[in-house]
Amino acid sequence: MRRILYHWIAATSLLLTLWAHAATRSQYGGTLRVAVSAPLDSLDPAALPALSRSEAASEHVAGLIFDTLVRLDENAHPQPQLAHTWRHSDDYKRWQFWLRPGIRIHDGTPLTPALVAAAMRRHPESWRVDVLGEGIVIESDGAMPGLLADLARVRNSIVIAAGDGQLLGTGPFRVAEFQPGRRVVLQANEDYWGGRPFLDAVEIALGQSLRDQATNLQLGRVDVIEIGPDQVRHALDDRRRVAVSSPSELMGLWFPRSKATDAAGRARETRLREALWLSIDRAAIHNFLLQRQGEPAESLLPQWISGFAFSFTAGPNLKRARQARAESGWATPLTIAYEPNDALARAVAERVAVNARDAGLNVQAHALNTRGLVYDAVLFRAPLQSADPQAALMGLATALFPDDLPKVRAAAEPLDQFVFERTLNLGAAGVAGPVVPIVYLPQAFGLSARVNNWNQPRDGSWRLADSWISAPQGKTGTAGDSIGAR
Amino acid sequence: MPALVTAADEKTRDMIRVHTRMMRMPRLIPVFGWLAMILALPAFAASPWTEPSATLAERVADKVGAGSAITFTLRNVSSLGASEVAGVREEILKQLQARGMTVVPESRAEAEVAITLSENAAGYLWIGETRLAHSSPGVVMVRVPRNQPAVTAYSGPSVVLRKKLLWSQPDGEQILDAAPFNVVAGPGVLLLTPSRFALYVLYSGKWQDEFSLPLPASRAAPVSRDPRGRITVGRGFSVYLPGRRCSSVNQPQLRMDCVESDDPWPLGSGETLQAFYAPARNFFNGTLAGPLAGGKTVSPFFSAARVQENGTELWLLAGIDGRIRFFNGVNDTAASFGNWGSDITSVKTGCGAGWQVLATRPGGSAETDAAQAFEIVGRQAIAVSDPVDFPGPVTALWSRDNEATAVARNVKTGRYEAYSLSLDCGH
Repeated sequence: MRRILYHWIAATSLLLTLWAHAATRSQYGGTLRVAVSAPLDSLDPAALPALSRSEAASEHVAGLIFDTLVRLDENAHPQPQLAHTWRHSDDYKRWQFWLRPGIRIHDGTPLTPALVAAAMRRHPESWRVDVLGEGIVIESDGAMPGLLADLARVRNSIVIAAGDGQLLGTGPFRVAEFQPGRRVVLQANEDYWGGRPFLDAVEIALGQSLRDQATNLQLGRVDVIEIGPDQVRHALDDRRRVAVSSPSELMGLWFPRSKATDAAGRARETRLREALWLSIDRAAIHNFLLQRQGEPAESLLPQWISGFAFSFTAGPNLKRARQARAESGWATPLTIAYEPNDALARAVAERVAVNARDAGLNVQAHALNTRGLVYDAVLFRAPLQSADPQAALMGLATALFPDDLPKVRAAAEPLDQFVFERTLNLGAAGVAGPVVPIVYLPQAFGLSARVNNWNQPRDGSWRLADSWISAPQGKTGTAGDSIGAR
Repeated sequence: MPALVTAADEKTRDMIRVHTRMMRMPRLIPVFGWLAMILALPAFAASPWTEPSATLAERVADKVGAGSAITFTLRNVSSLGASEVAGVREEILKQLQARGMTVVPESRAEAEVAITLSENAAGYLWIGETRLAHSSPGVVMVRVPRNQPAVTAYSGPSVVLRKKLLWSQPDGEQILDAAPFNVVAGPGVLLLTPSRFALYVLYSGKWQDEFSLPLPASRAAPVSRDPRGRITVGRGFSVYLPGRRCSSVNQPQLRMDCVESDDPWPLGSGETLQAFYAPARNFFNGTLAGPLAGGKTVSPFFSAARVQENGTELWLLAGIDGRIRFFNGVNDTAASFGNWGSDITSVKTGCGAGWQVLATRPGGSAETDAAQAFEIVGRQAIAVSDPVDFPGPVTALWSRDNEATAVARNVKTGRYEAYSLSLDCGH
């Protein structure tokens, strides 16, 4: 009886061999073709374009070339990168880092503590950096409890300036060709301390419109493209492969300068911003313009980073908005500028203008390249740079409210960060915030069927060292897959 | 826990027995003391929420004053489940009461206390909002680390491919290979990770490391992004790693001596066919060694499985191009079937054709995986078992005579889990 059963199973389960894919284990070789909209004039992580759609893409590319001393894992905990060990003084004013031995820069020369120290001194921070034995020491007059998370930001990568002005890194890929604004070609770093990437090369086409990227993906000319958050649902409906990060970019209005000459004038400006803050229907922008991707934003950091964003929910409140507008005494039109060629930014700006009118505010939206434009506020995009709340706030402060950087540096505890955010939060009756948050955007990418192991980190960054591409006859992905990192 | 029963193992067992005996002595002395402590544990066992609840209650008390009459609300916006939330609520209330605070109806309350169980990337964040009649609201916060989820063992359910959990890593460290290895004191598991070789033994229902020997990093071999390794047990322990081979030395105490080596790795559990591993990659470069190899070179492959064909050895090689090839010591030919995952191996069972191939399913690194047993009849693959599922991609699959070891990375927990695979053909 058992023998009969055995043969029956053997015969019937022949059909089960019809698995429809190819090998699982990562394969070496091949070139991944990527397209981005950012024009990228420089690969220097310390000179990334701020407050624009290009900033996130620039960080992604720089992160492939350069390493940081430490990195943050998915739980925002520091992990060794170029430094394998670290120690700090009790008052957090002195940090000692021991460097991983045997690391080579992309030109083949060994990475020494002296080179790391010199690279660290390039950063505009008020750090004193010295060589000590097989590592470096970073000191500051102020406490630096959040230094590790800060060092893990791409902007604080170890960049070695070569004699010919070329910038060299130690990352998984080295630059083989760079045509500013047009194209970057990266080759696998054979000596990478973390193991040679599976890919032989990455070709990145720069300055490609989202429409051209989508066309090229359909024609099989590229493997990875950007997808606007508002296009994610459409792409999934079309059964395309899409990878979406957690909300990792803040879109909001930034009032860069005060026109007021006295305290009363500044108070009126604050009331005006409060009116604008309370007039915006963020849920409608999230539901319709973003097709429910990302999250409405009423604080600087999203819930998954801060843990307290849920407590900032004030708007829309048209009654309070009208009252604030009336108290501001503002009569002239308010002009907001958005980045040209950013269709989503334009749509959001126009929606903000419509909401503002409901509160009695006259708001006009124009592209930044409009001739003779004088604007009051800019609709910006800012990557959140870190899953650590303090480091993320530091990134925003550097670009948006640099005067407050010392306060952010001191805000190591969640309660300190909460209090800091509340002081800027006009929806929560803050005092002088120059920023009106609107939505948090995810990073979204369309992937060709050749791309394997695209593990999308929550922060939207690229981990291409672990990705690989299938041989032409091999398996690829399933149409309509959504690789999430929510 | 099945034991390895080869004669060669006996010396190793003796070695372990001595080692185990030495280790046992000090552990036996305080056994009664430990027993007393274990018996007493339930009385003192603290909830994992006790400490953060106490801290939160302390901070709330600072805001509203110890001994206050309060209203109390709690809401959960984190990933904590209903039963955990109930436990937290109970613990916080207990800690508030321990500080003299009493929960009363709103009409009699001196202060409001609203607790929100929140969460960010780093862990849980418990937020307390307090409100007193004549002062501004206060906010307190406590960071709470996420607990590791409990380890769950799985035991599979005739021709039936059985799966049995050998080991689940408590952290995210990768398992390269594992093997059941029983010692006098009880069942054990040998474990190979990129940095250490260890033996864990089950004493009185609790796993303890009998030894955990560091494996020095190679100075010459480059690091692989997809590291692989394998354990062999003979006169002693040997482990094969990319560019390295380590062997156990028992004098003066057990240790692993590693040498830079490009020695070929054994492909099966015998020595008839070996292959050279490409150190900076994740595959065998195609150069073969051993009595069957005859100096032949084949296409690079990820893994291999031995079967019998007309009384002679036949090997299946899972190529890096996704194709299966046959090699019989004379020539290699492409199989007409395929669509397997990149990890295959075989087990000798004595049933059916005597050898069955175990093959993984193709898929991505974030997908669950499965293994299935096949017989090769007329160079065709015939499935002879239902697939057994794994909680993530299988990252290693090695044979050990009549069993195999599979390592999978659980896609939900991120942990590596090692399983023993055996085939019950109903005899």
